[in-house]
This record gives sequence, structure tokens and C-alpha cells, in this order.
Amino acid sequence: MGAQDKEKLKWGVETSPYISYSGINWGIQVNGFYKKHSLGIGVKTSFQSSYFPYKTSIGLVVDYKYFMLSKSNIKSFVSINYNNVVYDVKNRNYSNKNTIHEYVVSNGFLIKIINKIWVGNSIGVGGYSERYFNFSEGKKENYIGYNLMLKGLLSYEF
Amino acid sequence: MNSRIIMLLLLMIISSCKKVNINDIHNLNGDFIYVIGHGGVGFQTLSTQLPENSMISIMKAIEVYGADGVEVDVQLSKDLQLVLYHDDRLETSTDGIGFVYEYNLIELTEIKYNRDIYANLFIDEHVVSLETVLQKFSKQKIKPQLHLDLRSWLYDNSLYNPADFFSVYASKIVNIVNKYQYHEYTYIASGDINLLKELSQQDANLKLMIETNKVNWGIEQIQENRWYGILANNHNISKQDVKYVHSQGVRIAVFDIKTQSNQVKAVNKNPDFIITDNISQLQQILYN
Repeated sequence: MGAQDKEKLKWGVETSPYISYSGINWGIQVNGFYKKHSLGIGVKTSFQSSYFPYKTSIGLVVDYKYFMLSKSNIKSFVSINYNNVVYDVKNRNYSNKNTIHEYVVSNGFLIKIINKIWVGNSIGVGGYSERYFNFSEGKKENYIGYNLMLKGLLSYEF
Repeated sequence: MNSRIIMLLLLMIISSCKKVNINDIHNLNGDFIYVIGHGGVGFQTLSTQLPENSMISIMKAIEVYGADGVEVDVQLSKDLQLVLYHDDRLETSTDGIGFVYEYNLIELTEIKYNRDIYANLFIDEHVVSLETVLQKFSKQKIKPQLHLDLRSWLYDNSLYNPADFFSVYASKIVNIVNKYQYHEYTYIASGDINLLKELSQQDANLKLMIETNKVNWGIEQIQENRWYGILANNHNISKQDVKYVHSQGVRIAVFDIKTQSNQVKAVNKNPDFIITDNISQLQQILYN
């Protein structure tokens, strides 16, 4: 019976504030757990300008985790995370929507604090691409570069 | 008690969300405010990961956020080339040691920004010369404004007395603005009257701005020397000050503006330029 439980698909929700190229972000996602794997899909909001946002933006989060260690009260994992955000930019002459795509491989851990609730963090490196409208040239262009993601995690498993 | 606290918080939120009616803006720029990025997209913080005065930050402010211009900090290198760097010492933001004026330009362009882990590991940005920025700006279809904040006290005083230094400094500025025919888009600010006088002696057509919070004294200097305007800290200037400056036919730029509430306060003073650390936020306040 115990072995069957371990192989069942389980569900959870996870919320995470994090810092990356796109600035200060906050995400919420639904996770599906199967054996040592979890796949999460959710949304994020991005406060991409410096300091506090005047207007936030919404994006998509896809997050895969592989649990290298999974004990009753501690887990460690590596994860592959993709997220994006679309944000408005406007000046006196133009109004545009730019998009940032981020791809990060992370390493992190989770600790059970009370029944079904886990907290943790992760640190990851990867890349970004920013598809933007070049105000000076009047055309769409791309910035690409390296990315660093620092993430706090709060997870609930049903 | 709790309801009072909630009411107070709601009032604070509502007041911080106060919008601006751009039809109420009256200044000497045809009633619109120029948005100028502080050192590029703003000074480096946890959520603004690009080093100020770096090329990536400057170009992002212009190309991605569509700012009207950028404000950069200018110093002279040992071989008397104009370079962009804010602080007195290189250690504060880069892997260099010492003062900018102790290095030749070629050495400075090899010094890498490394203030935090992100810049250290992932950004390969080096100290840049003013000429490199002007080469880029002069090729843009829409020419960005270039606001130069001259660091007038940073030089080797064992080699120069102030008068000699200002003469050399001014000639370098005049030459480079002329070389790229960038008079129309260049605004030069300093708190040092003698440097500004030297600049206006060498080129009377430069747009020179005196950095001061003493409005009356600033206007006297501007009118006496036929300069362009005042650069002032937003926190030390009132709406009445700005109105008075404008009544004298003098333009004014304000800086030290980071939060949304300060952006709104600055806009409501109707300056001609706002030098901001949050370009997109200011644009949304102005153009939404």
C-alpha cells in the first residue's frame, strides 16, 4: 500500500518571490508530483522597473523539478524554469509591448515546517532574451544575456 | 483603532496613486517634460541590475524604454580623455583600484563593473568613454539628449592648479561636442561656477546648467553669464521655485527621483527635465 502511495500523482501549490533579470517577481503555480519529479505551471507578476511598480505585468511560469533527496522533512532538487513577461512601454511618440523570456537551471531545497507546508529557496543561472521595440530605430530587436535567479519558495502539498 | 489604521493606509495608497493631468503641465519646453534616465536606466539596485554609466544601461534607456535622454557622470582620465564614472574611486563599482585620473583611457576601458554578484558574474561591462557614447548617439535616427554631470573636483592636483585643469577639461568637452555636432542635444551641468565660465568662454553656444538648490543665486549667475538653466535636487525645490525660475526665462532639471510618489511630486512641479531612476514608471505617469 505504501509503495502504491509513493507512485501516485500528487498535487500541490507553490508561491515564490524571486529576483531575476526581469526584476522583482512574484509567482504562483500548481505542481503535479510523480515519483521524483514535479511539473508546475502558473503565473507570475513582475515589478520590472526599479523600486516600486506603477503598473505590474503578468507572465507565464513553467517549472520542472527533479528531487535528488526526498525525505519526510527535507528535499533538495534541481529545477529547470522557464518564465516570461509582457510589459508595456510608452513614450511621447510610441506605445509598445515588450517581452522578456527567461530560462534558468536552479538548485534548491525545501524544509517541512508544519504538516504539508514546505519552505525553501533556490539559486539558478541561465539566460534571458528580451524582445523589444527599439524606439530609436523604429523596429523590433532582441537583447540576450546571462541571468541569475534567486528564489524563495512556499509550497503546500495536498 | 484597527479601522483608523486601515483608513490611514487606504488614504496613503490613494494619495500615492494620484495621477497627473498632463494638460496642467506648463514649462518652457512647450508644456511637456523630458524624461531623462539617471546614468542609463537608473542607478544600480537589487532590481536594476545594470551598472550606471555603462553602455548597456545607457542604450537600454534609449532603445528599450524610449527615454528622451540620459544623464551621465564625466571625469577626465590621466591622458585627458573624457570617461563616464560616478564615484571618486573605482573600487565602489568596478574591479579597478584608485581614482579615474590615475589611469589612461585604454586602461580604464579594461576595468570591469563588478559591484554585485550579477554584474560580477554575468555582465561584461567596462568603463566607457564619452566618445563611445557619442559615436552611438550621433548615429541614432532620433538623437537622444545627453546630460553631462561634470565631476570638477576629481583631478591630480599635483599636476594641475584648478584654472589649468578647468581650461583643459572645458576644451575637451567643447571639442567632443563639436566633433559630433551634438550642441542641440547636449546639456552640461556643474556646481562649479569657474568651470562653467571656462566652458562658456570657449563655446558660448553650449547649454550650461548650474547645479544648485539656491534658486535666486542660480538665476543671478545664469542671467549674468547667459547660461541655460538650473539642475536641482527635487527634494529641495518647490513648485513655486520652479514657477519663479520659469518666469525668469530659465529652464530647470530636477533629480533624485526614485519612488512613484516622488515622480508624481516632481511632475506636478512642472520642471523642464526629470532625471529619474525609473524611466518606465515616469512615462506611465506622464502618458497614461
